[in-house]
Amino acid sequence: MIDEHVDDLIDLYALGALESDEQTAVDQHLDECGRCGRLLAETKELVLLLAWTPDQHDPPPVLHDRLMRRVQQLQRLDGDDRQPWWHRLIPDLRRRTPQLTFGLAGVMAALLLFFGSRTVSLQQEVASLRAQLSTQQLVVDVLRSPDTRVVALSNQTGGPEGAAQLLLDPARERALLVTSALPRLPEDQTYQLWLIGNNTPESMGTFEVNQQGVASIVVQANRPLNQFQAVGVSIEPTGGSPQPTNVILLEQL
Amino acid sequence: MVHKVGETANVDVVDEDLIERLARGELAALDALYTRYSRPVFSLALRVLGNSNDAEEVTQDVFERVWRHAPTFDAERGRFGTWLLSMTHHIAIDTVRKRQRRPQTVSGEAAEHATRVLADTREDVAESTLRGMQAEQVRRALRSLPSSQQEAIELAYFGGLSHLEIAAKLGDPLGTVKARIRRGMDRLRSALEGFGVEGDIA
Repeated sequence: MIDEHVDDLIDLYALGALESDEQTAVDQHLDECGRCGRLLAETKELVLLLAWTPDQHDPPPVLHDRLMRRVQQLQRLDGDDRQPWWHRLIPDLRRRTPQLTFGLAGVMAALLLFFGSRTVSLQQEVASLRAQLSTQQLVVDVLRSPDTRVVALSNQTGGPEGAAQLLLDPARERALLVTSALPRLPEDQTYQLWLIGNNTPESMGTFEVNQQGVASIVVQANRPLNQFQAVGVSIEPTGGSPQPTNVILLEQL
Repeated sequence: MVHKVGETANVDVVDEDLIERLARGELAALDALYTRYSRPVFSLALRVLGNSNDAEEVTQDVFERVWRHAPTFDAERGRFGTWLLSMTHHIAIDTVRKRQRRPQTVSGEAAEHATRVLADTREDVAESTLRGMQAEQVRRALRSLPSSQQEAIELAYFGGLSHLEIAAKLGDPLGTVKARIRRGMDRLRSALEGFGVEGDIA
């Protein structure tokens, strides 16, 4: 660990020209020194420009053909597995995901919707006043955050009518899911909520909706939501399933 | 032909569209990205490796990785052009070091370095800097340096050499080499300040 600032080493560090023991020492200093971290960030901007400075030459045309052949070969080997299953379900997902600005009207509407309906905790923890308070605090926190956005889940082909929106601040581990006009399910079926990270669906629990098809759900993940790629709702046998079988709503985060 | 960086930079939105299409397995999108970026990628690899065969291999490797990693490319972590050339640089330097049989586990070291570079959220600033300027002007700034300073910086960045190795190669004292790099980088900072690259911080 170097206690003093490392100005003299920053240029060499950014250029990758330090010996490994020196680099380790600078790394340790950078972990704790914001000032030197900023200096390094600025120096890296400069170093990145160097990548564009060599004389420019076109690669030989044969390289293009070789690359395309190689990738076609890889594509055949990988088959459809290249794309995660949820990508295939939403072929144009990023373009269709509305990055809604969460305006005051939206906040009020969501608050009314949230407090006007029964709060269903997927962890079944909302049984005590403390938990209720915590949940209300979450609502306030999520809505107050300037980074909160609304993700409208897309209805999947063959699924029922109805809608769901996820209110989330991507840096947090908790979010709110609000559904509307989803049909009530027969006793042997339940809705199940999923977060998809690393192409693996993780169950966030099961839930039911009220007569109006509304449910307001606290989503509790074990890590920040920006580490998940998608959110989905499926219909499963009562008790839920280890993997989603009948996905009815899905959207990328 | 003078390559203008602005030619690639004013189509950033289209880059993102192409990556999305590539993530869905559309080979035509890879074709378009290759047309757009193979020239700077190949040129950087050629500058580092010094021969066309190795540069072709690195270029192919880079675009194969683009194809493989398109589904997980995170546009918020840096613009595509910056990401692509950073990756090219690291792969090319790794290749050089392996060729030189440098005794350290350089791939891990380079990977760690790459992670730090790619994790730097300020990288998009460099990209937007590039958008507003031509590569020729960056080259001019580099080439306006005294030749000893330019040589030391280029041996570090394009040669993948440490300061000790540069000193040994040039037969100069280590202190002299470090001072040349420091002065050269300071001059580059001054020359490019107008493009948004800051000088010393307080």
